[in-house]
Amino acid sequence: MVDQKENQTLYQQLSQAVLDYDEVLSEQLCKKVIDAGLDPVSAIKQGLTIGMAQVGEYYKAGRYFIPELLLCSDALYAGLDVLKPHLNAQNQSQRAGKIIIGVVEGDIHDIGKNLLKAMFIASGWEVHDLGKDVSCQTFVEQTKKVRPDIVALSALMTTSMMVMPTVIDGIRGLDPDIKVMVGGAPMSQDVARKFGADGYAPDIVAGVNEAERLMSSTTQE
Amino acid sequence: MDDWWKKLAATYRFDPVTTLALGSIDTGFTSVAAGLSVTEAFNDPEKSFAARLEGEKRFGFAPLPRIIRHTLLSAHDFGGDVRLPSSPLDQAMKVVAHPVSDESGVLALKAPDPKTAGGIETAMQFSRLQHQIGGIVWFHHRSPFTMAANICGMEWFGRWMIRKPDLCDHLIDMALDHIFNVLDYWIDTFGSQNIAVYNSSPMESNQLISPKHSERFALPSHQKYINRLNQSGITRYFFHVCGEQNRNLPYLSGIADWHHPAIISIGHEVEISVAARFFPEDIIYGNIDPQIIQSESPQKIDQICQKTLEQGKTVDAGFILALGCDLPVFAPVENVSAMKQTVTKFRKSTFGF
Repeated sequence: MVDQKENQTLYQQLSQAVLDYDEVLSEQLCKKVIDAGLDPVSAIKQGLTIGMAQVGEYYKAGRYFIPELLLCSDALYAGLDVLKPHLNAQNQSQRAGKIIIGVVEGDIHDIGKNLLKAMFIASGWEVHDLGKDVSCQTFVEQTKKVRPDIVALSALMTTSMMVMPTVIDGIRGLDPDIKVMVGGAPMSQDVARKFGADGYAPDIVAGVNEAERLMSSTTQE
Repeated sequence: MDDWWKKLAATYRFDPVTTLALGSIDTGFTSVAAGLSVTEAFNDPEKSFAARLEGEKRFGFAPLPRIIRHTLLSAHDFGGDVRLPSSPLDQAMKVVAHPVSDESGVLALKAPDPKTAGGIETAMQFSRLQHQIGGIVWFHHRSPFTMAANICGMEWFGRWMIRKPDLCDHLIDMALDHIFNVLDYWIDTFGSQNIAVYNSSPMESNQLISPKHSERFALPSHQKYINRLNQSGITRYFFHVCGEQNRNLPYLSGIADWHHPAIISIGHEVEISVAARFFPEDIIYGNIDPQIIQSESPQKIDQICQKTLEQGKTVDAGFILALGCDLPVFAPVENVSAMKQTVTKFRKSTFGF
């Protein structure tokens, strides 16, 4: 059995592997976690999640850009693929929240959405990814089915973002308590407010923080 | 340098030679405003061109540029599954499947036919219509880097920039060759003296890649591109520096040995004065946020355009008021008209007519 200090070292190596976008090392370290009989949840929270949080800081600081983020998310998923089968039902239910994400109708640009998904997964969210070019009807139907805490809408084009108010209205009509957040290159706080969204994320890293803020406001209500 | 381009440059130094007002990239908007569908806008050269001419009269657009869609679209030309826009939400061609997604696919790629690949025949028909009325023929393509990323998709290209840079270089070289293979077809058809080239570089924005990667991958291809363009005899160059590229500007200005004045189009992310500093011999074109024209009131549009024109007036080489990217299909007609009215008002107050 590895002792506590060694565990911490292992988790630090894991977070560093994510930050260094070392997919192979991430997978190896997670196998080591399982082989040593360690808690996979701790490996996620103290290793992978912290690694992705650091990736986010690098992105905000202009040290990492999309290519680096793509490889960091590969390292995250490589580790998660090893750890996930070892999570029990209790682990699975201890989620930060449940979120639906998707790129709105008419828009096929999903790179930001895919990276946002990685950020949410790393932060312990249950993510339902509807993909790209998602119709308003699909958003509403899936919201009805999944009953998420938050629905996150992404658009990269000034034209496609115009469908967002319709999607937001549809979700409001279903359940006014479900929060809707929006993001994407043409969006702004002002436009998000005009569209009736509860939250707005200017970039990938801000997405999780904004979702946490919305969850907190829901709790306070 | 021909008279047309000289007159243009003089106009946008606020020398009141002509009544040209605004530049605009607006295939979808002008076509829909003329009662066409967006599919027709992108696929029917005759209708699209007629709509463009109508838009120029109605909204005061200068022919800067006149395009139906990209003359070249690498995902299409290299064999990917690309669909026409089918609703106003689309505004652009949709890449359903990229031509390649692995190393063997990249290495097996063949150069597309420069006369028939993708939408080249449609673009040629549109160019012939421009030529028939005696206008400049616009040749519209993405930068070699952007085209290369479009062949495999940015998710692969971004990863390969770090893991397999040789693959990226190979794709960029293929894209560069494709541009000039097709451009040769245009030159053979219309003559280099009748062509203006429009190059845009969205994938190089610092919203996507670092300045370091831009310098490593995009800049050498820009240099090769400019060398070949200069050799081609084409002197009219329109460069759309798309998105947030402030940190790329020092690199780009270092290779700016194209024919001057070129037109440098900037997004709202780049200040007019900053662009003018880096490209002092070129006309600056921009930089209204397209989202604003879609969502603000005509009064607000007037204020923003007025402010932008005041900034543009200080650009020695000339300034053209335009959006920082495509004019959205959903832009209210009264907002687009407001831009024209602001320019007219500004010219009156500046020149007295």
